Amino acid sequence: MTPSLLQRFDRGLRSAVPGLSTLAFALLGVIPLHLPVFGPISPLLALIPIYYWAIHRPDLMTFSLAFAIGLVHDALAGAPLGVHSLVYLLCYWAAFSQRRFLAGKGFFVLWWGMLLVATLAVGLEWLVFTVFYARLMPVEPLAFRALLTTALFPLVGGLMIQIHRLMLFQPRGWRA
Amino acid sequence: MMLTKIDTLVVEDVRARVTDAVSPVLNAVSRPAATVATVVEDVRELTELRAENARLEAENRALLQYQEIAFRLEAENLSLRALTNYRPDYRHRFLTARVIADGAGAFVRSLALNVGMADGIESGQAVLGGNGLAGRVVQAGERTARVLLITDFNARIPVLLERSRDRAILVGDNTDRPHLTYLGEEASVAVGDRVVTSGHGGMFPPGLPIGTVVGLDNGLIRVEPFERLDRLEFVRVVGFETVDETAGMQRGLGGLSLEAMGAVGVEQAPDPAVIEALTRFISFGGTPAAAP
Repeated sequence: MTPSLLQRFDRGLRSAVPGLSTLAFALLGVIPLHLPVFGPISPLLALIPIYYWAIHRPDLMTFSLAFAIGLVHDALAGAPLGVHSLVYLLCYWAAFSQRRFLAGKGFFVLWWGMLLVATLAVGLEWLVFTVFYARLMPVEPLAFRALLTTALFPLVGGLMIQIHRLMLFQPRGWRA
Repeated sequence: MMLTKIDTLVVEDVRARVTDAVSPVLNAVSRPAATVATVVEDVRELTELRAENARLEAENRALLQYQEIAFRLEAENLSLRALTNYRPDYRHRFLTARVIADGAGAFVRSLALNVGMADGIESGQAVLGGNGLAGRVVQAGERTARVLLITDFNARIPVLLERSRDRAILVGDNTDRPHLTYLGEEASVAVGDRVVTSGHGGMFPPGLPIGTVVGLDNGLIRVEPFERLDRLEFVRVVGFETVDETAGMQRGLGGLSLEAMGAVGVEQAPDPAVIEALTRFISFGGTPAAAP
């Protein structure tokens, strides 16, 4: 039986969820919050959904999608284009390669993995900007950035778990 | 990244298009964020209302005196300019814009605004906060514009120390306090000196306030910006325009009419025809010349 238009639409929408949710957090990450000293240590919000989906749905959150999200981030934040594409891509790869270990484990294991990936991300940021500007960049704001990103994992990651559940939700009598 | 260094035009175009495309979303989402920030600030300010009011009243009294002086000086200035055939100064044309995205990172100090080429924004225009210079438009999309803040690593601004008239370049280094370089050997700098744009290079109008010198730090002269760059919500983008030489404060230069503010004792600026006639009279050695 060929799927009806509605079924195809439903399936398409469900498979777009990881990408859209990541994009939403990429946009949220550049919204000005007008908080003092927050700017330099603001968390890499999009990293959390990338990490989560790379482990749980790598078929829907692909390498190219992580790359594109990075480009959007750079375009909006005014960073040299491609810096965060590289950062997100390598973080994606790190999470993707460890997904057999991380998937299905408890929340705290995921959280621990997030700390490692966030550290990797800011380390890469530091390296890239140091090379780009040809001068040593300060480390402190990045350390706080990694910590803040990790600290937000229960919130954003928890939301991702809910979205993931919603994505798989099948009403009775519905065949997608 | 490498592309950013090589083909800036293409990259900037891509950047502008992406920002344009998501600007409605950013515009909508940044409003509640700004509202929350405003509410927090309001509550804080409420507790200091009485003291603030007393301070403002005292300041207002002082400012009214300054206004008198300013009017007198301006009238004198206008007539002297007319006498010396001074080339007209620049007039600032403002456009107020909302900040819809910020750099969000340790190594990039920039903002996105909700105005673009459609509103007359061009690359290179100065961007002011309520207190002083914030940065410069580096790229204008159709409906959005990107601002490089004066604290960004790439920011270089020709400045003038207001007291000593020494020139320098203000260099951003991703810290909250940019520093001065290329100061002359005999330059005199003191803590508390005001730093303003010099207008050299034609990038900014001269005399825009930037900040004050706060001291030495590792051999660098640091400047504290007047503007709280991490709290910018609305900014003014400044365009250049040559001024009608007889226009002045009394007529509401800069779009702010003093009559509208309820100011008293507003004098009229000298009539252009009178000035012209006087100038001719003097420059032709006392013989009144007929108008062409």
